[in-house]
Amino acid sequence: MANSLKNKNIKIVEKFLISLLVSILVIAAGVVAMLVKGMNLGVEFKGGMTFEVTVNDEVAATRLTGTYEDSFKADVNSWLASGEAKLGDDLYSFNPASNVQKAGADTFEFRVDKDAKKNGEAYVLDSKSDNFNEVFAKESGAMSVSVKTFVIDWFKTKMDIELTTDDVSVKTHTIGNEVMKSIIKNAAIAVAVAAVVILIYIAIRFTWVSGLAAILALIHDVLIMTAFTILFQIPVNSTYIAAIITIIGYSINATIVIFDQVREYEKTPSYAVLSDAEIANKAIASTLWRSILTTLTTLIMIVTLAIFGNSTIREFAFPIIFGLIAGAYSSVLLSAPIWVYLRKLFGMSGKRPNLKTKAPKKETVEAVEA
Amino acid sequence: MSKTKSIVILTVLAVLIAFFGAASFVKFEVPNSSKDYVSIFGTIGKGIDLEGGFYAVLTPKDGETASPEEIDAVIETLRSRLDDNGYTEATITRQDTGLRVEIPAIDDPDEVMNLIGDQGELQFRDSKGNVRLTGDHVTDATAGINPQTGDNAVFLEFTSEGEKLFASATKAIAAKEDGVENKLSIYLGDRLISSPTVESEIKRGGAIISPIEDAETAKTIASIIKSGTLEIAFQISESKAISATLGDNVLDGAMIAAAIGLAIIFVLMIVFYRGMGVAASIALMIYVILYVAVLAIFPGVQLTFPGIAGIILSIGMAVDANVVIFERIKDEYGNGKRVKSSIDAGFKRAVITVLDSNVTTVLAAIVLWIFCSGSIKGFAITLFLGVLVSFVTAIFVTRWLINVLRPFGGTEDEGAAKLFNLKRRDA
Repeated sequence: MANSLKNKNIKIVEKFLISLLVSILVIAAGVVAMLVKGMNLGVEFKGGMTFEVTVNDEVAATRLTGTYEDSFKADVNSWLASGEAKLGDDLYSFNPASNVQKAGADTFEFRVDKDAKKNGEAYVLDSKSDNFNEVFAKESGAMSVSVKTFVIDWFKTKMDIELTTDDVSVKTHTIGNEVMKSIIKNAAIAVAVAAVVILIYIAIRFTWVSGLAAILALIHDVLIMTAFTILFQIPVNSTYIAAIITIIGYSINATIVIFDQVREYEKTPSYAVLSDAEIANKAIASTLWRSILTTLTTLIMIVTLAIFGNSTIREFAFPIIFGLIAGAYSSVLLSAPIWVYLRKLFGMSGKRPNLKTKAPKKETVEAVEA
Repeated sequence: MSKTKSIVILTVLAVLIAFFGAASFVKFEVPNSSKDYVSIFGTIGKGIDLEGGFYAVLTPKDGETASPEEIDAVIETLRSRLDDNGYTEATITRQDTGLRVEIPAIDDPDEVMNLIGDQGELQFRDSKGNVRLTGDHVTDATAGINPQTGDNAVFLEFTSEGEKLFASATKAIAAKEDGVENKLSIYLGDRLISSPTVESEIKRGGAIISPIEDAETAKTIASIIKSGTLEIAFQISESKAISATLGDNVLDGAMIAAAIGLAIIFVLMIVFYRGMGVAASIALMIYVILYVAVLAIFPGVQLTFPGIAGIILSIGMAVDANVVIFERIKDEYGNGKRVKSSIDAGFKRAVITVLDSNVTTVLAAIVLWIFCSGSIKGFAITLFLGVLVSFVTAIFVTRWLINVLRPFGGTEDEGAAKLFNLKRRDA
């Protein structure tokens, strides 16, 4: 199987425009989805609040699983969003996050973003707003009291369980987006610096055209990942940033392996007559099996993690799965063709390193002569 | 190497891997001891997203900006307050706009909120609200018991200027000058701590604030006064207590996932590369054990959600290094070399490929480590260490294991080729 792949006379460079078109279509779909649905920004991005609802009654807590759990989460969220939430004398409506995290067996964490409405008018959940501390921040505030009442009513009507105010506790927390802003800023700086450092390294070890092609492939991967994230409405938060960085670290590996092969073929005397495109095609063919197998093994690790992990892990695993696929796609189908076209653009096509002054290592020659 | 020697080596290896594998991952209760064995993996530091705990983000009040020096000063002040109250595991990190305080595994975030929150300045005011004396005039503050009443108290010592001011203030108040009541109110910011009656001028070098509701509060107030007011006013813009149970489930799930994922990879590698796949699988087990040990030893490693991804990713890269090498060996054999020289040439050539691809990843990890904080830093460290360890195991351990397995293919090249799934290229 592996050998048959290697010996195939594949023409990836010639099909570059098709490969590029597929990527552009995915990115375009992402842009359309962005305009229609927007990005699913996590509460961390916007800032907001969390309400941790703990059911202290053991009987009630143990029955709150499966469909009951799902309808509990959905009912609390729809109450928060309905505009019927009466806190003190005012009616509020919130933008709740759809994924409610379970922190422990009996604790649910509901999140709402900072833009809310008070009696139909815009209200920002922020310590600077009127009455915020009295209504939201304090443990005895109207928010906690109303959530508690709602939960007690819910148990009575849906499950016929009588709870007292002591059986339910509600803790509120504010979430600022300062943290997220600084994480994004630092991550953006880090990624830019890393790209430059990688470019310099590849320029030294390979050529600067290879470096440029590798960086373009990386940008492609990030764009594709982001497009998928928008299409599937995956929440964007700090773990998402880490997922993007993970893919950058991983995808560059596959690209390097192909350029390493290109570098070797360039130095091979018997290949001196071949065009850039032919060399690139040969390099892609000889590393194709490795690209497939490696992506497959890493996918296995991350997919098992998604299966056995909780919702937080899953949020993290999905972008990585998209990124792995995008990374394999760009390494195999885009990076070497980009290298070919960049060389054409800079008038370097067909130029080979001077073999006389820079004798290739002995084993390289041997490998080809044999 | 003879077949007998290989069998002995493999048996010893199996025992060692079983032993260190168990030491790395299996937790158990030690009989007749209060301490349980937590496994090597269990000793790796965990971030608060896994271990649970409390964090708060402080930003300057009213949208002001703080200079780096001011933030440094605030960090120092908070550090001493937290240390005084036993929160030595707390970490305080700077962020663009302010700072972040993280404390692992605590139950009572309220007390910490009081400690790190802005308390304002210590002031002694008369009944008309005139400030007579401030925290600047205090050299030391300690918590204790008021010897006269038995109440909890905070003892203050004044500077010489403070002593004079205190004497004149108490004199004026005791005499009810300018129509003030004979009370001296002690405020910390807007919070009235106590308001004792002053009967006469006090010329001592200190004062006692009492009664204070409990010993803990006295300790907190003393450390706040002692550390001084925060250099600029900060507010808690975000705070959260994270329950530990969440992290436990995540780690257990991740470990099961890693075990199953590895098992599938072993099967794949053995199907595709036979003997070399066996060598790679054993090398991967050794890699996992070494990696866990390095993570446990290396200072500053914190397991976080992204950190787990870093681990998974470096396992993927460890497999990649093996695949790159094995494909090389297959090429060399396909081109007509003998088994031994194919293996030698394959490793020699593949080292360059693996080195180049790993160096780029290591560079990226180093840049992340320098520029990022918190969980992404945790990711950078796990990735960096993982790539280093995987390079060593893929290049040296796998090669050695292939030599150990070589005798099982017999003495002839054909047997060895069959063992390692090597084929001549069809012409």
